[in-house]
Order: sequence, then C-alpha cells, then structure tokens
Amino acid sequence: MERYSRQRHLINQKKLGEGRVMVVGVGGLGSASVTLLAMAGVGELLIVDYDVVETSNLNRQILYREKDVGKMKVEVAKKRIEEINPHVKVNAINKKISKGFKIPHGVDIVVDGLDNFEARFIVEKASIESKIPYVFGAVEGYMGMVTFIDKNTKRLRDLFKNLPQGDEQVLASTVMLTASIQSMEVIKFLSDRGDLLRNRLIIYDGLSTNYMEVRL
Amino acid sequence: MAQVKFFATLRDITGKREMEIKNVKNVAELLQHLYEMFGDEFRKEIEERNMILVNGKNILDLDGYETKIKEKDEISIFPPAGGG
Repeated sequence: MERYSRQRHLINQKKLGEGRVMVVGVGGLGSASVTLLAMAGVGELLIVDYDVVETSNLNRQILYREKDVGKMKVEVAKKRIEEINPHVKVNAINKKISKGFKIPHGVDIVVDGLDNFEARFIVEKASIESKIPYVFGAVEGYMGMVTFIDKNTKRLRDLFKNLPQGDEQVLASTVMLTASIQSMEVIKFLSDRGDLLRNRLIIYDGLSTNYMEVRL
Repeated sequence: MAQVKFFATLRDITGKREMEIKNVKNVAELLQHLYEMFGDEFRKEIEERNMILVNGKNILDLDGYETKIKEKDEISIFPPAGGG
C-alpha cells in the first residue's frame, strides 16, 4: 500500500496490520500514542476512557480541538483516528478503569495512557493475567518515563517506593516524546524487530536534556 | 568523592545540576546532608516521593537508604513521574 511505502523496509507491515492494541486512557500520552500507531498502520486500536474533553486538555492532548470541549474523549478520538488512517479499525470503550478490569480476548499489547498509579496497577495486573505485555509510560513536568512490562520483567511496584502523586503541570513536548518511545515499543513488538525495554526504565529529563537508562 | 545529580524539580530547588559530596557512608546520610543544605522544600519533595539510583541501580534493588556510597559513585535523585 502506497501509504506505507516509506516504512516498508523498516517493519513487517503485515504483522503490524494484524495487531490489536489497547490504549488505556486517551489523554496526553494516549492521544499521542494512538496517533502514532494509527499512522504506522496497526490493525485495530481499542481505546478506553471515561472522561470528556476539557479546555485545560488542549495544551497537550493532540487529538482534541476547542470545538470538542464537553464531548466524550473516546468518541472524538475514534473520529480523529479514522481521519488519520481510515484503514485502522477503532473500538471506542467508554469505561473507567476499576478493580476487576479485564483485557478483551485477542488484544496483543496494552499501552499506558493513564494519569494515576491506582489505575496503572489494575491494568498491569490485568495484562499480566492475560499474558500480554503492558507498555508503561508516565510524564510529569519536564520528565517522562517508559518501560516494557510482561510476566518476566519487574513490575511497577518494584520500581516505585513512594507512589507519585500526579502533578498537573506538563508540556506537550514531554508527552509527545514519551508516547513516541511507547509507540515505538509497540511497533517493534508487533513487527518482531529490535530490543524491547524489558527490565529497562528510560527516563527523559527535558530540563537537562538527558536520557537515563536504569537497569531493573 | 561521590557525584550527586539532580533531575527535574530537584534541579529547581537546589539550583544545581550536580554536585560533589564526601564523607557520607550511605544514602540516608547523604539525604540528611542534602536536607541541611537545601532545606524543607527539598526534604518535603524527597519524603513525598523519590527515586534514587546509585550507579544507575535503584536503591530499592540494593539496600534501600542503607545503600553504601563509595568514592566515585554516581547518585541520581529525581521525583518519579505519575501523570499521563
């Protein structure tokens, strides 16, 4: 397909096109991840969120416009993703992450677009139980963090002693960069390329323009 | 002499990107020293949430606050990110 001609030597497009990716939370990170994954040509995106678009989202959540304020995020996101790439199937799930959350059958990988650790622990547990990987990502201020979690890697509770309270200050630049790393992990996983961030935590600090890799 | 690196908000609070430190045996002593240098704002930030690495390893995987600090060790301190 002409649409993918400039990436045909980079990835296995057929495998990517068969991939079913669940993105939990379509706020800052989730908006950016679904955009990148839709452009890359994943087969299906399952997007989960319960929130409506607010004006304060617009500094960093790239799927939304002023006219969307007050609308359900998953509905606006589905429409935008289909505009970006009509070949991607989008399944919008209007739901808050809560205890007992299950990953639908057939999902290959889950991407973190959440803004709190309570929900992250639930999704991480559900992913591990379903034997599928979970790409953790978080942002705050000028910082972003990403790691790839599966049944053989360390989990979030192994990494964080004091659970961070989300600071609401964040820039789109940090969000986009962090989501870019997350979506790259998904693309590599689905197309069987490269080394994944298993047992490695990448920390980006925009203030000092530094990346750190922490071996876990 | 060990090297301490500060990231994100801790850079703002300390006004430093990195500093050298000597005569501290472990991470707990290091933090105490830093609390005295940088005051309550720094202490509050660390006590609320922190991630501390010694030579790239999380102290949770070492001996926690008892993790020993030796000459030429590199200690990185930052608040973990939680937003999305």
